[in-house]
Amino acid sequence: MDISKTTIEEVSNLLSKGEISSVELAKKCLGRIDEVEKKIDAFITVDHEGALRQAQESDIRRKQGKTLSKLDGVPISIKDLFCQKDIETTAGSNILKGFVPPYDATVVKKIKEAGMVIFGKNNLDAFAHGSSTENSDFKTTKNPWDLSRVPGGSSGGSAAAVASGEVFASLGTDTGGSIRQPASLCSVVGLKPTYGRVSRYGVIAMASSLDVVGPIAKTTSDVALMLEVIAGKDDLDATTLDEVVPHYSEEIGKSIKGKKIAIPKEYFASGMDEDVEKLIKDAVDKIKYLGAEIVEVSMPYTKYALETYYIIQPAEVSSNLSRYDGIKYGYSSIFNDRTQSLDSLYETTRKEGFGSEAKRRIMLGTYVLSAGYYDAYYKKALKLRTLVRKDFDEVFKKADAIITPVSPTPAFKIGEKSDNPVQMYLSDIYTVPINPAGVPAISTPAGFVNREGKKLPVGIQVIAPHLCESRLLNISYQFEKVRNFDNNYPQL
Amino acid sequence: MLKEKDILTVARLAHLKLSTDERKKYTTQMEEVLNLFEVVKKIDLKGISETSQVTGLKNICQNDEIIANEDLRPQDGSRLIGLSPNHDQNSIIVPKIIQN
Repeated sequence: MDISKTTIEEVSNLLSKGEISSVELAKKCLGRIDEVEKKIDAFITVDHEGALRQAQESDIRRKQGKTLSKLDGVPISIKDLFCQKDIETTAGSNILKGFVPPYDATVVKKIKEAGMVIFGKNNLDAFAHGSSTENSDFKTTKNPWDLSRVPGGSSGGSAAAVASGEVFASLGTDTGGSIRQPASLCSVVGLKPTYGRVSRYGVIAMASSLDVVGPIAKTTSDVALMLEVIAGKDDLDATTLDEVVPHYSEEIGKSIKGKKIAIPKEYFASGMDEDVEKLIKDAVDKIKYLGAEIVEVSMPYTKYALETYYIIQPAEVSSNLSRYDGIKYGYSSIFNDRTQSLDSLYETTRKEGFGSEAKRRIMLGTYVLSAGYYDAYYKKALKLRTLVRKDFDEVFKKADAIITPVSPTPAFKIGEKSDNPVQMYLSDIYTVPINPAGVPAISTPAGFVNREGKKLPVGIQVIAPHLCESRLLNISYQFEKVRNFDNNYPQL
Repeated sequence: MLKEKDILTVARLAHLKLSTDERKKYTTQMEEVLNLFEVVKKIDLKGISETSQVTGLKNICQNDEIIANEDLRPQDGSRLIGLSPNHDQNSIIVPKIIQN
C-alpha cells in the first residue's frame, strides 16, 4: 500500500478488515515523514513516541472489539494553533515557543475520542496571519508540487502534510481563506464550515467573529468523515450552533441535476491568471454537464469585501493578541531583566516575541479602533459587513450554491510577496468575502497549470448558505467524479 | 498622510516598542494599507445596521454556579501558575504597579 495515494475511507476499511494494523500504518507514516519532511518542512513538532503509543492503543481496542469509531487508528496532524495537552503549541510564534498547554482544544478531544492517531503539529503563518506560511517564526513550508513555491497559508503545513502523504488528514483554521487557499495550492480538499458549526475552544484566537475550524484531506469523502467527528455544539464555546450534525458522508452521493449554481461576475472581472481562469471555466462546464443549471449573478458589494475584512480582522487581532503580555504564559522579557517596570515588560516582551506581520496587524487594528478613526473605519466596516452578507443572502434566494476561483494565481515563489503586505493581502480576494458572511465554503482540486515545467494545482471554490455543508460536499463529490484528472500526486 | 509620530502613538496604545528601522518600515507599510481603505471612508452607509457577529447571539446573564464537571475546571491550579515565566509556589509574580 502506498499511503501517499490512500484515502481515509480506504485505510479505514483496511484497518477494519485487519489487513493492516494501526502500528504498521503509523510506522509507514513515520517513514514517509522521515523521507519527505526535510524537503517540505510541514511540521513544527512530530510526536514519534505519542503516535506509536496511540497506534498501539488503537490495535488493542480493535482486538477487544472496542473501536471508538470508523476513524480509529487513522493518522492525522493538527495545525499548531490548537492546544494539545502536554504537547508544545506555538501558534508558529516565538512568543509561545515552549508553551505546553494543560488541556486539549475541544476538536482535539473529539479526534482523540474517535481514536485517531495524532502525529504532530503543523507549521503555519504565526497566529494564522498570512497566506503563504512564510510568516512562521520557525520555518517556511514548501509546496510538495514545487519546492521553490509556497504551499499557501496560513494552514500551509497542514495542506502540505496531507498532499505529500505524511498523514491522511489535518485540522486547520480559516479566517479569510486559510484552509481553502492552501488546499487549492496543494491539490487537496479543504472545507471552511459555517461559523459556529465547529467549536473554537482551545484554538488560539485570531479574529473571533471570523475564525472557523475545518478539515483538510485528499478527497471530499474524507472531509465529510472528518466533519462528522468535529462538528457540533460545545458548552465551552458559546458561539457554537445548537444544530444536529448530519451524517455528511452518507449524503454526498446524491445527484446535483437541477441544482442552480451561481457564477458572480465580480469574481471573474479582472486580475486572475489566464490559465487559472480557463481551468475554472472548464470546471463550471463540467458542473453543467452533471445537470446543474448555471446562473450568472451580480454581488455588487464584493468590491468592498477585501477592505471590510482587512479592517475588521486586524481590529479583532489587536484585541486577541493583547493577552500575550509576558506574565501568564509564553515568552517574557522578564527572563532578561527582573527589575523592569510593568510597561517595559509588556513592550519588550511583545517587541521580542512577535514577528513583523503580527506587529503590523496589531498596529493596523489598534489604529482603526482608536479615537478619531473608529467611526471612519471600524464602524463603517461593520456596516459593509452587513452588505457583504446581504449579497450572499440575495444570491441564495435564486441559487443553491456559488462557484468561484479560490486564488487569482497558482502557488507563487517563496519570497515573491513576503516584503509586500498589500500584494499578499490582495491574493485573498476570492476567499475573504466568505468569512464576514459566515457561510460555508469548500476548495476542491480542479486541475493544474504549467509553470517552468512543473504542474501547479488550482482549486475551485463552492459556497453554500449557512449550515448547508451537505450541499457543498455533494457538489464537490460529484465534481470529483467528472474532472479530467485522477490520482495525481506530487513527486517527492 | 501617516507620520512616524502616528505610528509611535499606535505602538504605545498596543504596548509595542519599535526600533528606528521598524518605525520607518511600518509607517510606509501602514500608509499603503490605509490607502486601500480610502474607499471605505468615502462610501455613504447611512441607514445600514452594523454586523459584529453572524449567528445573532446576544449577551446573556446567568447565575454563578459551581459546576461539578472536572472537564470544565482546571485539574490543578499549580500547573497553570507553573506556566507563568515568573512565579513562586502559589502566585504569579508581577512588577510593582504602584510606585512609592
